[in-house]
Amino acid sequence: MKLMKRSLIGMSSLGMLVALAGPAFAEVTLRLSIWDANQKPALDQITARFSEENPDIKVSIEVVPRSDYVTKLETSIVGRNAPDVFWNALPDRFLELARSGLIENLDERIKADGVDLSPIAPALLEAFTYEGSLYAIPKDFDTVGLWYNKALFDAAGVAYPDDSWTWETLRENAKKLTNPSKGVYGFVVNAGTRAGYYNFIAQNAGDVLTDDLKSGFDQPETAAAVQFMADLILVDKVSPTVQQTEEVNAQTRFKTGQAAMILDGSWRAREFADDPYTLENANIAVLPQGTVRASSSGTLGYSIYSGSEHKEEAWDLLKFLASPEAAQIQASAGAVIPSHMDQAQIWVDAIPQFNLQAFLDMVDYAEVVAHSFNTPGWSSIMNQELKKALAGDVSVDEATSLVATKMNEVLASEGK
Amino acid sequence: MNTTRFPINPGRILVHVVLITISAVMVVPFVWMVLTAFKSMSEATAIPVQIFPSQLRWENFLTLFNSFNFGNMYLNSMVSTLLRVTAQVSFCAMAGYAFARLRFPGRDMLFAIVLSVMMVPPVLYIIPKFLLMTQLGWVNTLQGFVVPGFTSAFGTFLLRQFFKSLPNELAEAAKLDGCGPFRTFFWIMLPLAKPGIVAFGIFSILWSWNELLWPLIILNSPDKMTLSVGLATMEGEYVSNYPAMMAGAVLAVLPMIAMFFFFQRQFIEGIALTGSKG
Amino acid sequence: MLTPATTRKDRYDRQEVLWGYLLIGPTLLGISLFALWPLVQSVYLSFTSWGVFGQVQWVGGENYARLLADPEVYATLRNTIILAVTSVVGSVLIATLLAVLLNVGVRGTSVYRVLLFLPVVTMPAASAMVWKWLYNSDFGLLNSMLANFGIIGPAWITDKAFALWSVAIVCIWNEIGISMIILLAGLQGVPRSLHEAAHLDGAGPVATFFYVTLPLLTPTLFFVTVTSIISAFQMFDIIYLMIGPEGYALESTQTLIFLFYEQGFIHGSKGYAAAIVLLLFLIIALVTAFQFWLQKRWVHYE
Repeated sequence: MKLMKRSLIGMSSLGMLVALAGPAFAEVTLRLSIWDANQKPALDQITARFSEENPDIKVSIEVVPRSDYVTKLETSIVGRNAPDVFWNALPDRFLELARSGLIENLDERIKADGVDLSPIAPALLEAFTYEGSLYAIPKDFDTVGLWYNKALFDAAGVAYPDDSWTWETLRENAKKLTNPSKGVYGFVVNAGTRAGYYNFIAQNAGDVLTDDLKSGFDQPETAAAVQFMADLILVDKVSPTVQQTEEVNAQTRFKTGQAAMILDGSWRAREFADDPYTLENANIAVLPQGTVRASSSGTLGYSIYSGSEHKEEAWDLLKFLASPEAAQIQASAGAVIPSHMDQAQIWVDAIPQFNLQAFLDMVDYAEVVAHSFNTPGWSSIMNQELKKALAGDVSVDEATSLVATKMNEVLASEGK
Repeated sequence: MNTTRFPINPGRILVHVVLITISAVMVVPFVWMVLTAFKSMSEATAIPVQIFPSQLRWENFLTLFNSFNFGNMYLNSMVSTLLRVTAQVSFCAMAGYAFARLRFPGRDMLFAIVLSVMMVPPVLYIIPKFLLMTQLGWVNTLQGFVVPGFTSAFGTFLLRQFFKSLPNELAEAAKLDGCGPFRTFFWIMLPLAKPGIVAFGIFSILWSWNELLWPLIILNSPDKMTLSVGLATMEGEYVSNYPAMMAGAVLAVLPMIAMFFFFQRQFIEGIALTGSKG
Repeated sequence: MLTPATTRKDRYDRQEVLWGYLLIGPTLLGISLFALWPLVQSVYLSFTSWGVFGQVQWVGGENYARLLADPEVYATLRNTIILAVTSVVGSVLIATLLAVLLNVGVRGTSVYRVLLFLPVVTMPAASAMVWKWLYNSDFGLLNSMLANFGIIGPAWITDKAFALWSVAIVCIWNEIGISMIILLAGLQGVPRSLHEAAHLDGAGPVATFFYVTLPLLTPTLFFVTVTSIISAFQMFDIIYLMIGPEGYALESTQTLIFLFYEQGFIHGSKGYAAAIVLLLFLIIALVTAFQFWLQKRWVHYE
């Protein structure tokens, strides 16, 4: 009986809590879903400013880890419970979301409210356009650079990387920097897309996805790029194996002083600036060149979920997120390169210890991340098979030709 | 002559040696978890391994609350466990009693249905349960997480067996005194069944606290996540803060270990109960 | 004892009937909504195909045809069986040994019991995290200790040759405690007089164990084996957390239930996932039936 009584009290007091915490009638709380915790402080500031101007609209920011983001978003769409506004990346089925009408076509609202999108880089607006209409407002873009540990370079007596570096320089210097007895590696090959394959493939003038939406993995240039990565691990042994990197990722190795060089994006600057060790020892150079210069580039945009019950309020938020004011807060936090091109310098100046200019220097030859309607459908196969080649389980040629076949199957079926 | 008072029996020493060895191996993960939780990142990733932290770094625990939203997860785990266990134990006790002691048409058939449900692996229910939650609009809500756990076929079965094993005299006497079925249940039988209910309640708490698959599926946003899901997503794409991760593990397991210490006897009896009667 | 209530077999007490239904009401509702209906729906779902964003289509037996033709399913089935057999055999053997030793009644029995039981109350998410850290090939305790003996340890959970066994060890570690307690309860049910009789007949402790204790313990052993196997088939948490959906060693460790999660909630193929989980149900049912058949041959009931 005690049990029952207690449970009743528990339930009623919980009910009261819910009632107290619940919003007043006029107030709306928008859910905004993002994945990068490093960007939350800037976004907190932006949404606080937004709520000052729109006292009836509160914004609750949900940070979902990147590895779960797409799954969770899709599950919540099936559950008709998706966040009102969310980050959208091109390879995350952006095109499919637009085609299925699951995110709002923004054209009419932009026209009706006369929103000025001219400060935003045209290439980014184009990236989020599907059949002539805009489906997301670009917030930032990124490139990938060569992060290096100055202390390890000094200790090995190697000159810091610069724009004269090629694949060969990378390999030779990585050898000098590798010190197995201390667990130090000269370089960490990332068995991933953005900080891995996509850079090397583009630098070797290969394709991941051709312009007519076929797999690029049957091109010799593409295979040779993967071969270069595999050799760094298996032949030159300047990088931990893919198994080791799965257990302790490149960023962790870099931060603990056990990796002299890694590839990573401009989005990592804030995280490395917040850590005393990397703030003191890390810096960035443009990527070494292969047969051509290239750096993998991506962009994030804000989209409105079509099933949202608060589309008008969500649109108000989007307008604010697209404003120069929001871009400036984001840029000065050093979180990401703003989509407003005139504010890029603010970002570069935000963390003076790092040579962030290197990321902007690569814009001219940035290669936009490969994507189609069902990108995750083929990218998961690609990652899985290429990893086997990097691990030395199969030859690079076997892996790439298998990827080409399987990828083309997925690509052929996604038009329906 | 001492041998009668202090039997130094080689057999017994062997028993101790084996038990100590196995216990030590079993405990290593806990010791390592606690040691790492107090290390700095460079101590945790030193080569060769550094066994002891140079000082107790409590700040690893602070990191959890500041950067990983641990306070919120703790609250979510506690609220959901409390709600679920209270409802589950109450409903199972009610149904268990009715199946054991009350006569009504269709009772045996209905009980057979409950029994048959116990035979089905719970994963089978997950997708339809998720779709049902979708239709109710309960995805990513507390009720979506806890309500499906309000009832339990296993618990109903267990408590029915327990009520059946209780002596009949008191209930009969109460009935003669004019007690209705509910009053008999609530005031007389329920207190008698306390040991069974406590044993079941303890396991119910343990399962609820530790559960991963269902909350992983039904809860999307970090502010709703329980400890189990939170730990599962801690090692993301960022720099892995191993000491903080281990500190998180320590905090997540501590309540259940504490409960185990306090209710050891009930734990053991609970297992023996389910073991001998399942 | 006959009472007025039970002698009138043909008539129900109105109040009792009313309360009977009221008391079982919530449970019946819960079981119907969250077990019976899902059971029916699972079968229906296994004949449908799902788009990523929830568009449903009837496809007849396509999922089952795919299931039978999918090499991944066979590899997964193999892993599931290896993992279940290894972890059940390992944990039951060690648990039996421990239960027998604890039953001797040496000093400190309760301390040993607590230590051995700890893994059972530990959150699997936490266990997996710690074990992963112990197994870490760069910074892990295990490889560091091996290095002291001049052995270069493998990548325990990312090397395809080792991952499944590494996971099995964690499962054994996790299962021992509960089996041990049940077996201990079973042992305590074996009458002391039988042991004494065996002792008087000149049987040593080992012979006593094999000829007296073990036969009497078979019902408990049977119970422990059945429940362990059923739970081993459904083990998800540890693999999910130690290997992960993108793990390099996933192919060699993936179990049926993991494949179910991957298909249903990562790839969004809920129809195919339903077919996979029905296959799992069928296997568990078959294993259980087989064990009950086997039981007649080796279990002694007094």
